[in-house]
Amino acid sequence: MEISLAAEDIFYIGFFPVTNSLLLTWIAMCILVIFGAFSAYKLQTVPGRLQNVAEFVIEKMYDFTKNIIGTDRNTEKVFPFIVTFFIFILISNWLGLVPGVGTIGINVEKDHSEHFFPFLRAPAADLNTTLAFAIISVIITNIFGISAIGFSKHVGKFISFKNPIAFFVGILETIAEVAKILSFSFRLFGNVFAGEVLLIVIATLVPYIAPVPFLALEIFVGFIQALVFTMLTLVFIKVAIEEHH
Amino acid sequence: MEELLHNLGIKWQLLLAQIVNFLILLFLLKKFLYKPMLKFMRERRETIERGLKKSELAEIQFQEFRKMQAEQLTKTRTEAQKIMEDAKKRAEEAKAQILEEAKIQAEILFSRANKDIELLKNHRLMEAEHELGKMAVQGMEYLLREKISDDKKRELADEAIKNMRINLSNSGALKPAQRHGKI
Repeated sequence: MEISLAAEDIFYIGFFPVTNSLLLTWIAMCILVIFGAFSAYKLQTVPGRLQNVAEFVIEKMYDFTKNIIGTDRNTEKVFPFIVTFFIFILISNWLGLVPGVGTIGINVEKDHSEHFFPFLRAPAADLNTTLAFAIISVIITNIFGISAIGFSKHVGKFISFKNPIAFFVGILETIAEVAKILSFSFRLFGNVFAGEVLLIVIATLVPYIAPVPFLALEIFVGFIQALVFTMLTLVFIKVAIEEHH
Repeated sequence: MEELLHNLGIKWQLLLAQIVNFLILLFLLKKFLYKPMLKFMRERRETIERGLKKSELAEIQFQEFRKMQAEQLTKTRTEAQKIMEDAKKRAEEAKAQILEEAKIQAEILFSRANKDIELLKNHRLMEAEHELGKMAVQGMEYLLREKISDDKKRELADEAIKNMRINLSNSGALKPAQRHGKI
C-alpha cells in the first residue's frame, strides 16, 4: 500500500495539471453554488426546507462573526469571507469522506512501478488547496487591517523604528505572519490527510463495521477543522483591525 | 526547497487555481446567496418587529379603550341611579301633594255635604212643624166641633209649635249641627 502525499494528476489541459483534489474542489463549488442559488432564488417569508437550512447557516455565521468583530459595518465586509471559508472547507471535507472518493481509481505505470491513482481526493488532502486558503486568509487579514486603521498604522505593527522593543516586536509579528500561513495550511492538510490515511488503513485491516466509528469521527473532524480555520481567521482579523495599545 | 515543494505536491498552477476557485466561489455565493439572504432576513426581522410594536400599541389602545368604557359605564350607571332617585323623590312629592289636595277636597266635599244635610233637615223640620200645627188645629176643630177663625187658627198653631219647640229643645232633639260636627 502506497499513499502519495501529493495529489495525483488525472489529466492535463495544456500545461495545466488537473489533479483529483482539484476535481473534487470543482464538484464542491458546483454543489455550493447550485444549492446556494436555489435556496436564495425565491425567498419566502415562511421558509421552505432548503431556505431554512441556508438561513440557519447564514444567520449563525453572521451572529458568530458579529460577536467577534463587533461593529455591523466591519461584519458586513468580513462576513462573506468567513462564511465561504466555513462552508467550502466543511463541504470539501465531507465530500472527501463519501465512499468511493480516494478508493475508486486506476493503476498507472509510472517510474517503472505501478501506482494507484484515485479519481477523486479530498480537496484539503492536497497542500495546494490548504496553502491557497491560508494565503487568502492572511492577505485579507492584512487588507482589513489596512482599511480599518490606515496603511501606516497597520504597517507600523511590522516595521517600527520608534524604539528597540517595537522594532523587535515588529520582526516577531512579521515572522508570525509567515508562520500563520504555514500553521493554517499544515493544520488543515494534516488533519484531513491523516483522516484519509486512517480510514484507508482501518478499511484494509477490518473492511466491515470497524471503519464506521472512524468515519463518524472524521465527519466530526471535518466540521471542527472548518470551524477552527474560520475562527482563527476571524480572530486574526479582529486583532488586525484594532490598533496597538 | 525545490525537492521539498515537489514532494509535498505544491505546484504554482494548482495553488493559483485554488486561490481563483475560492475567489470565484466567494463572488458567486456573495452575489446569489449572502446578499439577497441577509437583505431578506433583515427585512423580515424589521417587518416582524414592526408588527410586534403595532400589536403592542393596539393592546395598549385596547386597554385604554376598555378602561374608558368601564369609566363611562360606571358614570352612566351613577347618573341613571341619580335620575331614578330624583324621579322617585319627585313622584313621592307629587303623591304627597295629590294626597294633600285630595284630603282638602274631601274635607270641602264633606263639609258641603254636612251643610246640605243640615239645611235639608231644617227644611224638613220646618215642614213637619207646619204640618203638625195644621194637624193640631184640625184636631182641635174636630174636638170643638166648630170652625175656628183663621186668626184663631194661626194663634193656636203658633202656640202649639212654640210648645213643641220648647219640648224638643229640652229633650235635645234640635241640635243636629252639633251632633254632625262630632262625627
